[in-house]
Amino acid sequence: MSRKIKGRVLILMMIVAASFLGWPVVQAQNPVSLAEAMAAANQQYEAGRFAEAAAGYEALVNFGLQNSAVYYNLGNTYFKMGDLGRAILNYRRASQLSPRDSDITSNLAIARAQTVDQLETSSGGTLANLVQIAEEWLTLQEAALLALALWLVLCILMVLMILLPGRRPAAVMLAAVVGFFLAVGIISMGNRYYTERYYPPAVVVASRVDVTSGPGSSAQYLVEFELHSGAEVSLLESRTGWRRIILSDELQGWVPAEAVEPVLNQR
Amino acid sequence: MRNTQHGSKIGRVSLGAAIILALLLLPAGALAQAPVTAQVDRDIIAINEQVTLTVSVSGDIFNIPTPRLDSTTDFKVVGTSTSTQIQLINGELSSQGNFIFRLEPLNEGQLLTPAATVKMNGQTYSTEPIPVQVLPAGTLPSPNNNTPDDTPDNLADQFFVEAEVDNATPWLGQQIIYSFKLYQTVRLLRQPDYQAPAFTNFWGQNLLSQPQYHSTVNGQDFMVTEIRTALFPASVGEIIVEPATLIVPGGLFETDFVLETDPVTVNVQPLPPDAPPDFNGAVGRFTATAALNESTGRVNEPVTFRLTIEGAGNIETLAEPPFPDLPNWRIFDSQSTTEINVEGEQVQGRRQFERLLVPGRPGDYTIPPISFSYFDPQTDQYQTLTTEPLPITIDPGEDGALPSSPAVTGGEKQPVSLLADDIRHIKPVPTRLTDTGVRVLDNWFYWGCWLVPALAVAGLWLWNWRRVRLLQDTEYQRRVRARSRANKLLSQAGQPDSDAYGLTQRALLGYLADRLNHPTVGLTAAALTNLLREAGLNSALIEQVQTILNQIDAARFAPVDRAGFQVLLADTRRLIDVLEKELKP
Repeated sequence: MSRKIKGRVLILMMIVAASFLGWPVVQAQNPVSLAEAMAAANQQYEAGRFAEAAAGYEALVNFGLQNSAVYYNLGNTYFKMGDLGRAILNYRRASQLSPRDSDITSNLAIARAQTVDQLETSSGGTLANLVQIAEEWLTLQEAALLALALWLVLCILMVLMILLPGRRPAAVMLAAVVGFFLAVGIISMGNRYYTERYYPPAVVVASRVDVTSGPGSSAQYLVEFELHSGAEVSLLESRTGWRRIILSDELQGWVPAEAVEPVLNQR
Repeated sequence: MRNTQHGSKIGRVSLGAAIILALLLLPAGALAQAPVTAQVDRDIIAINEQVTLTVSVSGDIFNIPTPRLDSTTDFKVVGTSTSTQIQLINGELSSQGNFIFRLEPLNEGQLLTPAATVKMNGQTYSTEPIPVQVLPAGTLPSPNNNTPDDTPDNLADQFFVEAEVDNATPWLGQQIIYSFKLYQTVRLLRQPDYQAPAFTNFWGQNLLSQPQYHSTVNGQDFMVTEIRTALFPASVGEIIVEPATLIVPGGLFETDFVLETDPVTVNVQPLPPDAPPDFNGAVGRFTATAALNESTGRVNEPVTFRLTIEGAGNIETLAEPPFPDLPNWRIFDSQSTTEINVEGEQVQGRRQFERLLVPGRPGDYTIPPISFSYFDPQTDQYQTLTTEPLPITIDPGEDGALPSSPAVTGGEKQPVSLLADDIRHIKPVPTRLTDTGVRVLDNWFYWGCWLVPALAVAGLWLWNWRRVRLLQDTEYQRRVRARSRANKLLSQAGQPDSDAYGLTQRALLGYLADRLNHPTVGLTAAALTNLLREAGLNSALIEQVQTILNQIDAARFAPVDRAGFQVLLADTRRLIDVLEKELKP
């Protein structure tokens, strides 16, 4: 029996035992701060009790707290537990909130290097690269605020162009530069919005999963290919119990819903 | 000093309820509490005083929504404040937001506080209005002394509730325990709903244990379920704890079964007058310790001073003892954290005050002792604690730093090589652990910030375009301003003592000349007809123009009366309105 399963069995036994002992519904309530809850999980991690640490971080996440440090530590915890899928999932969630954090990028790269499936990465032209750099360097929130700031500068330049025709050439030059970066910002935002909406990223969290040609088991449909924990895919469609994923035009199919987890936390 | 008050009352009992009760199955331990509750600090006030309405909202979400008060003509909201507390219960986090509304009464008499409504997890919860009696100014609130009727019922033999406090004459701020007891000989079928009293004039309501035991009353064996609440009196004098209620939901054909306790009276004594000067209201038993995170520091590098007050009492309301002035140090505001443990029968815990101290100069310093006084209700005496003085040595900063490490040996350099690759270590708790997943794109204000400057620039551009064109293009200028010029002349014509007909003619002819971009001078009737035809005007309208011009001409030499002229003026205005639409630029 692996360490992970042992840990889970222990927690389950504790819950079952507690329910037999008849714990009162209203318990002594100990006020804690979120920081204390996180510190407690950190201590569990330091002591090597990763299952308990993961439960602590997950409680914070389930509580609705979206914080990159919590996601990063949760990613580390799953990495130490050997759960590459959930490690990559949480590193990616952390990275979306703090894209310039080198610890997150570094650990995400280490986790990705250990995955089984070799996935292709596409590369585009110069503008696509620029858009990609913007995405890697800025959160959606920052990009949105930056684009708004550029837009306000552009508006001020346009006002100057109207009111001071004598300074028009200089203002046009400046406006062109600002407009270019604004265009990159808007394309980056639009691209992200489009991806989030139509191709939301997801990570395989099952250790191995058959990708079938339809929403059903391998008995019903053909197994087209298989993926392993940590494979990063995009979601196309969700039906009860099943999710349609896509890797590229040729590689797409259906997996059980619990085998993949969307990167964007729904809560 | 132990004094117990209890009693029981059964309301709205039907025969059917008694039968259902006999079949009741569930143990009485599981009691539910609503996610939104409201309470007031006092229920009798003078018209010139304020009442504090506290709405508590609890839920399993991080951002507790703010409740909305219904509009009321009885009270005016004069202040609001909010505090949020997060709790860890059985490994699950939950938040509780306390929204405090200070209400000022607008009328005298028996008033109702506004109900509070909050939307959470797709559901709407609201609280009941709370009655508050408002007396004329200067009238001292008198405690109500109505004793409830003690109606014994045969059901009360099997089933009753009572309430008591463990100490009916506590000191101000001393913990007392309010016990609600349900006595039963049968088991409950449905989960009963315990509605705690409002606990007006008390601080804190920490739930203690919920013991279950057997007890014999009048020779009969009862199963007793107790709900114990720790309270701290917040005002001196007689405080009446309102009745606690237990509602057992009725069956399909039955009404709810309501059990109510008697009110409990607590007589709070003021603290003895010989309080030390630094006494700030702490009641209980405490210890105080002070510590620095370092025993040595450097100039301009902060050290953390931590004062911990630990013990039994109302930890949450402990005020921070004053911090002394330290020459050559910058002292920052403190941050406090509170931990409460309810162990046994006593609310205890720890309150920590942390502040950053930044030394400005090197040297040996001592952080002086901090003194903290409290009143010990067990010995009925004030106690003063002083912390240890804390020595600290401050070294000069980076520039004048002394070498503290062994002398550097000039040896061969070795390339740093990676022995094993591991992931980077976990992060410590951030100084501000906040939710960073807020989405600005879902905010209408954000999109408004895009739209407003765009509209402003577009408006400015249009205004400027028109201004430039009016300056440069006379034909455009005449066409655009034709109607306003004509209207101006017609208004002048409408005034008495003016050359009314001359002005009317100038208005119509001038309008047509402006619109057709033709000089006014030498515009004959025939030429005008031709021009109008070229402009694509239909012959009926051309005829109308001619008719009006003829009428004006005729009237100039044989003036008509005032009424006739007004008709002519109105006809001219109407014609210009029609022409404005028909004569396309």
